[in-house]
Amino acid sequence: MSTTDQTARDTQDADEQVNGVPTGEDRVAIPGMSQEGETLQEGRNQAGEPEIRHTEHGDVSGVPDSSRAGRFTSYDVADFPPLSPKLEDWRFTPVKRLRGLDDAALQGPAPAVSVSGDDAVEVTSVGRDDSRVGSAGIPEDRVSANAWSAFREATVISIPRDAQVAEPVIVTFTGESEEPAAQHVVVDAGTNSKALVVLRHVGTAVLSQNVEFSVGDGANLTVVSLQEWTDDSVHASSQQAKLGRDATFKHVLVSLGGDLVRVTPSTRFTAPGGDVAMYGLTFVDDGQHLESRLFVDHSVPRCRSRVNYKSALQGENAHGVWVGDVLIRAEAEGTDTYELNRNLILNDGPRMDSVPNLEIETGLIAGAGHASTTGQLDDEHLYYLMSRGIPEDQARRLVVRGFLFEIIQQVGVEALEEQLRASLEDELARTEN
Amino acid sequence: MTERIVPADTAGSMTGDTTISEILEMNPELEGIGQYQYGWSDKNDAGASARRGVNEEVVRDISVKKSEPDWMTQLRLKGLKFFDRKPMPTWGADLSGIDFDNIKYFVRSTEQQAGSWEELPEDIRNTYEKLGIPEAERNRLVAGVAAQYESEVVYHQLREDLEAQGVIFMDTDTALKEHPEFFEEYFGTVIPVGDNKFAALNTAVWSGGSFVYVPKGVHVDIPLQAYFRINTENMGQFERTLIIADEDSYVHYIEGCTAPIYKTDSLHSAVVEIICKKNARVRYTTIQNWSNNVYNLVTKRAIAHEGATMEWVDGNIGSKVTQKYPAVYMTGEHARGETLSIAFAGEGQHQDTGSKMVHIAPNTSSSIVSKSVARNGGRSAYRGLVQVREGATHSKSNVVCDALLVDTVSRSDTYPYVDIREDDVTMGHEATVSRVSEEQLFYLMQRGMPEEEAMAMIVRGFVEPIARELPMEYALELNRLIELQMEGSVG
Amino acid sequence: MSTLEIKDLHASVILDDESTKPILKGVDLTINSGEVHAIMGPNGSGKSTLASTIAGHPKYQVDSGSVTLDGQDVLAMSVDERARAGLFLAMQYPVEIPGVTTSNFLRSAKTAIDGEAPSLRTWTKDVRSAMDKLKIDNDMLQRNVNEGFSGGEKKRHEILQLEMLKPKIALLDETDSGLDVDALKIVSEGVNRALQEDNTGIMLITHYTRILRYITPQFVHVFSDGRVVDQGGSELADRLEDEGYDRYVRAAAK
Repeated sequence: MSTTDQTARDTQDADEQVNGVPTGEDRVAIPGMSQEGETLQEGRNQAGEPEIRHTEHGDVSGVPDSSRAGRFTSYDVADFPPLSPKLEDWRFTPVKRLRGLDDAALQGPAPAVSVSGDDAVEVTSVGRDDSRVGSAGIPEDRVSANAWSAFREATVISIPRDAQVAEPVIVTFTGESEEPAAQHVVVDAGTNSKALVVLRHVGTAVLSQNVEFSVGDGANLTVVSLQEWTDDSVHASSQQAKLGRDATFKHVLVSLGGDLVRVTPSTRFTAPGGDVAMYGLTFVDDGQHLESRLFVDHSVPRCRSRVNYKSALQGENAHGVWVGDVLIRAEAEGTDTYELNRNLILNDGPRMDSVPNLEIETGLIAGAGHASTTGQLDDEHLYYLMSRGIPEDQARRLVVRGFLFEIIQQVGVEALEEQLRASLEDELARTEN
Repeated sequence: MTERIVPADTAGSMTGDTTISEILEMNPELEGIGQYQYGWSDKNDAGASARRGVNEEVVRDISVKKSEPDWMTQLRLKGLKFFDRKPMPTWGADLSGIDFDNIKYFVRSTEQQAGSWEELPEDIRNTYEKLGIPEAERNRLVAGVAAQYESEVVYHQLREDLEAQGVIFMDTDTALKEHPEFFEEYFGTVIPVGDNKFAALNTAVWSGGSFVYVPKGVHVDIPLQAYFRINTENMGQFERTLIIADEDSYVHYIEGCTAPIYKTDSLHSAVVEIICKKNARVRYTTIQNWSNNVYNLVTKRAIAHEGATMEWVDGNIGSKVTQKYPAVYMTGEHARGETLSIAFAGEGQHQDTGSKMVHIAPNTSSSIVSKSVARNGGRSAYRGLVQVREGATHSKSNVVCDALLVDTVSRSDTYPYVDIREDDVTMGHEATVSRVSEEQLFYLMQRGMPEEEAMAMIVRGFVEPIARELPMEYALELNRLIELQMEGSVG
Repeated sequence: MSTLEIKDLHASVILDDESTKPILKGVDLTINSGEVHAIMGPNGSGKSTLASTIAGHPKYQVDSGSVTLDGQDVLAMSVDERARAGLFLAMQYPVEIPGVTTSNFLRSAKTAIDGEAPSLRTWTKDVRSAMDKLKIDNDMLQRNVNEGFSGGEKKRHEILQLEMLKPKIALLDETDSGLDVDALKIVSEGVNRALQEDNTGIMLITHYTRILRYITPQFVHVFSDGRVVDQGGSELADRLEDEGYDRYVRAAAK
């Protein structure tokens, strides 16, 4: 008898009995559980329920995929297994809604690029063979590798050595097609330079994007990545940063629009003294899937990382995902890291998955920690405000604003902050309708 | 509930903060408690002749030897089927060293269960004397004792007044014969037959373990204790424990585990099912101190009905590999689940532990506090899941995990999974990893303490919030173990 | 009668990147039982380094010179051996030890220093009485070491240890900093008790002259750029009160 037949038989014996004693499914007392254990979440690894959640594949076989150190990377899409919720990396993502970003040829038109800002910053379109392309990271998942295979020209935003760019550089990506497309962007911050770059995504797109940040020695780069797509857009963005000695990198991610947006920012240190701060804000509405998966790879001594991600969720099937992986390798003595994720659920229906992971391979650290909370508005806060005469709807908005605006303050461009606050007010107004 | 012993000769003269080290100082005779002296083995005729490997014949043979009802035989065979079919887990610790064909699945060490220690064969009796079990019973530190040696419970005793109140505490094999109705209704209902590979294996070959029933409204004031001992090399111990706490009852069950040190590995794969009925409260304390050649892969799960509280106190000090995540499924309103978990990973040890809390009914609450210490190349991981299902409104959960690294070659990981399907919930999670700081060591050494003592003091302080929840003799054992773990920890 | 003798001591701080920076540049100092030596000087002159180096803090390395206690080579001893030999350092920033009660800590320290556990009954009584004199709440014994202590409580706790452990020589590292006048008086009384009752030799490191109104030094040493640049009796302290350290700082800069 084949294994499949066996399964079919075993799961059909609900009223199986021996001498009047149930021996089949009827024995199971816990809702959502069958005689094979948990069935509520197919393919999910859960504490206490050993099951395969990793397809054996190429070089990664035998490496427990719960460790970020063993994460597979490749430029070749064929090296990655087909997407499945059984893969740790994709277990939360509704793969069907990717609209082919993992498999299609990605021949659609990439969103148009327009730039405003300081003339000191050079924006050029270069071929695949440009040395800056591929300098900051190798694709870490199938969708990213697919984009790598497909893109023809890369946009390079180059900040010259020693340049202190006062005005923010705003790069707008305007999508006008639902054909699956690929895009490649490189931000190259020269030694001891200082700049702020905003990557603003608007319009409609089905896009797999690779963004590289190369932050030179002593450079100070701030990047704001805004996802303000229309509600039918799909966007997968792998954003990989590589930091030189004493480099400072601030990454602010704001995801508001899109049907499915999955941003995977990774930071790697190449020399001591690096400092990364990663901020995130997502506002998830009805039916949206907004996912952020971070990775900070401490592989050299004496670097510092801070992560602070917040999200607000409202409406049926609003799904937020936050996964924060921090790996402190054996060589990374003197590491100082803390990750924070806070989620606010505004009404019935949303789902939030928050997974902070911390792996530490050396005891010689300065400090490491993380915290994650998910909850509704604090009734005490509301009560306090209402007792001061503020109506409930206003009180709610006040508290939510206070919760989210902390991240917006990190953007550092006043006009943009103003727009973002307005967008959030619009989102909040929807709750009350 | 916190149990504390105040030493008689000094009661009143202290401030009430009598710490364990102080008690040790005042009661030097307690010094030996917890010293890892459990590495000896007895002579071993039964174990030497036992067959290795598992198949349908072995499973049927166990069931026949125990004269079990047909339904249990069928359930065992089903367990074997699931075990054969399920793949080995690919996450967590490295389990590739387990050779299922080399394991002895059933070893009968004595023909008859004893009701007094004197009735036991001398070598087995000596083992338990060395472990201090009869003494604890004589001193009335426990309300009942069960001692399992290899595959079966060789001794059991329950205080008479509890027996009179209808409390049942006996080995699972005997209970299946004498109280089949409980087994027909509850066995395998909390941890289904094919729940995971190791639970399936346990269902197929289970033997021994404890059965506890506490009737409505009965409070068992001092703990029931079970002691598990593996003697045979390559032994597989698969005890099966079922605890039913009826409405408004309370019981505290404690288990301790040791094994001799052999060159090759043994497997301990237990299944523990607990049913906490309305407003019942159960505390289950484990101090696992297997020798470093035991794979300890255990499934523990409780169901908490309306208003019930389930508390797991889980101490993992020994074993080569432990994978254990005690779970509470809160199916009734206002149910509560709590886990206090502590793990030490020394050289060659991988402690992959944590807890799982599943909120199914509204107004349920859970808390997980985990502390782990890794040293000398040991590896500790916290792996936990908090799940709030749809409909479990107003649920609350808080998870705190702290890890302490004592040196530079050890490793600590944290995997706290959170899955929330309901909006009206409050979730908190906090984790810290710290190392023993140069400044702390300097401060204590400047006050005259040698480095090892200073280190042990810092580690004891780190686990103190959990140690204080343990009964005193276990807290003392934990302390001694910390000191032993710290020996040679500094160069 | 005990003597701590420091001769031509040179020491460096070990920085995070393992490089070293010289701090002490030839210190000579002798402290006998029952004497109070005030070490005064501007911030960054190396006063605290001197105390930490004598106690054996791992962040400092001795480059040359010697430190002996009654002829025994202190520098050859580990930190705990120095403490057991009779050296006590009251720290400027005492660290927290989570989960370890002050009561347990005090008794473990006493046991380590004396080589045997103190008699339970008299010990408890002695601790209580010392705490009363230092106006420390009894509940400190149940609190974890230095955890959540106010600045004043931490300093009083250090002096409590001084009184309980009865060292031969005590190094008090800016014990006066951050104390209000009342607390300063209480702490000073504790130090004076150690002087009178146990004949402890005291090295009193301070930036300010304020504490010298309550503890009278026989010797005042002015520290600048890692060495003693001036010394005298208590009248030198009065002059420093009026003139400050400018003169010495300027001299060192030349």
